[in-house]
Amino acid sequence: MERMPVFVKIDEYNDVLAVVRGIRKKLDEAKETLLKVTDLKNEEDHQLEMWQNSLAELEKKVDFIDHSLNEPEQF
Amino acid sequence: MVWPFTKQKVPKVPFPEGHTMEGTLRFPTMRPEERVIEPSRVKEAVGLEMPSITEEAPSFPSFERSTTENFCSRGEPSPVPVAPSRTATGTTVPAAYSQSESEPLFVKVDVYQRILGEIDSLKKDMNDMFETTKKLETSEYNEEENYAKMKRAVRVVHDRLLQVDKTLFKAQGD
Repeated sequence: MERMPVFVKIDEYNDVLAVVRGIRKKLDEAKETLLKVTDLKNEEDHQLEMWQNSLAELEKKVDFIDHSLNEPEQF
Repeated sequence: MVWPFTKQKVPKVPFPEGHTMEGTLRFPTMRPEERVIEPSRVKEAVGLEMPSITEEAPSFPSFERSTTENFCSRGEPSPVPVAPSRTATGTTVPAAYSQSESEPLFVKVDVYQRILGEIDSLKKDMNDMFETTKKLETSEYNEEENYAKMKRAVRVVHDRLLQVDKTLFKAQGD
């Protein structure tokens, strides 16, 4: 005997479709937000890098002043 | 001994009504074809755990054949060939969906099982994302704390530099 297909009745099909549409919309919003967060993160990384360079420059200058004051004969 | 053609006496005491004794046989109140399987018990009913759609290559129904024959039908469960229509989002929806909204929709059991599997997978993914969000919040809090420390350190360095400057060049000012 050939296998007969078995079906499941879906009640409130339109509600399910509406929920799926809502989920899709929220997913799009989440993707946009994630893009913005990624941009912010990149900007933050850039600022941190600049901050690190400034700190290195500051350290170099403080070292120079320190050496100048402690060993003036070398300068 | 009772004579076979005499009228038998009927007891005048009425039979009890409305009382069913334990152990008596009862007929089901609903017909077997009206048996409803709740969505939460479909897996038990069919006894299968279907793999996720994403784990195996999805095989979407080919629309040269009848779409409703492949996975669903409206009205009665007997599939009727209906031409699919394309929506604005690009997804192909069988025309049977838009024919009559009030009629019940039937989905094939294997498709339904896959949908249930996908929903389970989605729940797991959502839990993972919640965990990630918690970790991110903790990380963000730690980041804020470190930024505050860094700011305090820079302020101290600035004050000390001002102090050194004042000390070194005090003679010029006086």
